[in-house]
Amino acid sequence: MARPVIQSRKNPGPSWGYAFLTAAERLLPRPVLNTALHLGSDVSVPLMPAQRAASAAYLEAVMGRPPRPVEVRQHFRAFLDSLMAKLRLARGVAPEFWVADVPQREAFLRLCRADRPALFGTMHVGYADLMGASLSQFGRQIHMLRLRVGNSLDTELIEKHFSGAVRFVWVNEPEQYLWQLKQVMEAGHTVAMQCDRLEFGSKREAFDFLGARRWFPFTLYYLAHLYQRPVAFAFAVPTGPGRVEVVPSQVLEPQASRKAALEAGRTHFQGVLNLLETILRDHPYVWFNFLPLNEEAPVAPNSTPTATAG
Amino acid sequence: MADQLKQELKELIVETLHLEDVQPEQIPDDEPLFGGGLDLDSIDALELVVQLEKTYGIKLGSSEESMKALGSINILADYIRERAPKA
Repeated sequence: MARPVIQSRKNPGPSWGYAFLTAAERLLPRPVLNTALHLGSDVSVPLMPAQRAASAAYLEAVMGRPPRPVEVRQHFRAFLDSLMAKLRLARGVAPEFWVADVPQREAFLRLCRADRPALFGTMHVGYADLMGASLSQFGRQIHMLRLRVGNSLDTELIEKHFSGAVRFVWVNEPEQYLWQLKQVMEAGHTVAMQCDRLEFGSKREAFDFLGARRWFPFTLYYLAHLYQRPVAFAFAVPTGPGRVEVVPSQVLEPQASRKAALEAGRTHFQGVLNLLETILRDHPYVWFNFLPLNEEAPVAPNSTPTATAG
Repeated sequence: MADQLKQELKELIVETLHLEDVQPEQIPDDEPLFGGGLDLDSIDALELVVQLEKTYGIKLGSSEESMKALGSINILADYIRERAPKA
């Protein structure tokens, strides 16, 4: 059956792009390949004005000043590097993952090793798709939902390589997303979701992030309450060649009361965003957000804007 | 009995979705539950479907079937009467 072609802002590259990159990596020596990739990335910057503008706006927010052109190029290069890491993983070349030495490390590891379904959140940061792979190393089967796009070879290869440990649930239509998620949750699976873009989240709430109150999807916490699942976020940040640091959030345990669960979810997610902001201040190129920054929420007349951490 | 089921459904909607500003009797029998005055979204639909499945022992298989069943209180009541073991 032919797959429907979804028009999407995601994956703006050509449909043959991943196959080309995979072939280039097999054929070219690493130094030559890296030079060619970075040149190709640099050439793409002026050819992608919308992504370039979004990158510049994000970098200005995180750096506190307008970025230099070389910094925008660096942001594009970092994204290409993450794509190459995914393609390498699909060929069996996995980076070394290690969980950062943070106070919440042990609770996160306990959840990873526990024999109970959980909800893992992440964002388009660093090696997000590879993080699903790293969680599978704890013996968990991770389900990740993806909207079918024209060029999804990278994720298909990861699924093939992990032969069942990482399952991508392909969603052909955005309106099917939640219902397919329902089936996965009811089957008792552990799910990893990306939670920085509003495209799938019907519930959104405003949180402090990068100097403003911004809208973020909040659907994850409704699902966590509905199915009584613990929630943890993790960000997989490349820190050197073949080395990835997984920075976890606190673990949020489910609560019986819907109101209490959602209130705890708000506190938890603000903590997640504070953690992300700290990471981004140190590693500004790892948030692969080449779309406009999350829209600012109107400030209520009697409220005082809260300063963001970091 | 039919009116009792409709009243039950209205109460279930208000309780499940914590519609603090809505009284069950304010929900009309024949108006769309989604895209109407209740301002419900797809997560609300999911929460509602999960609760309906628990309460009435029915299974709503797909998004199309669910959204059709949630067309209005009248449609939902008919749907449950046709499929629920003890509605």
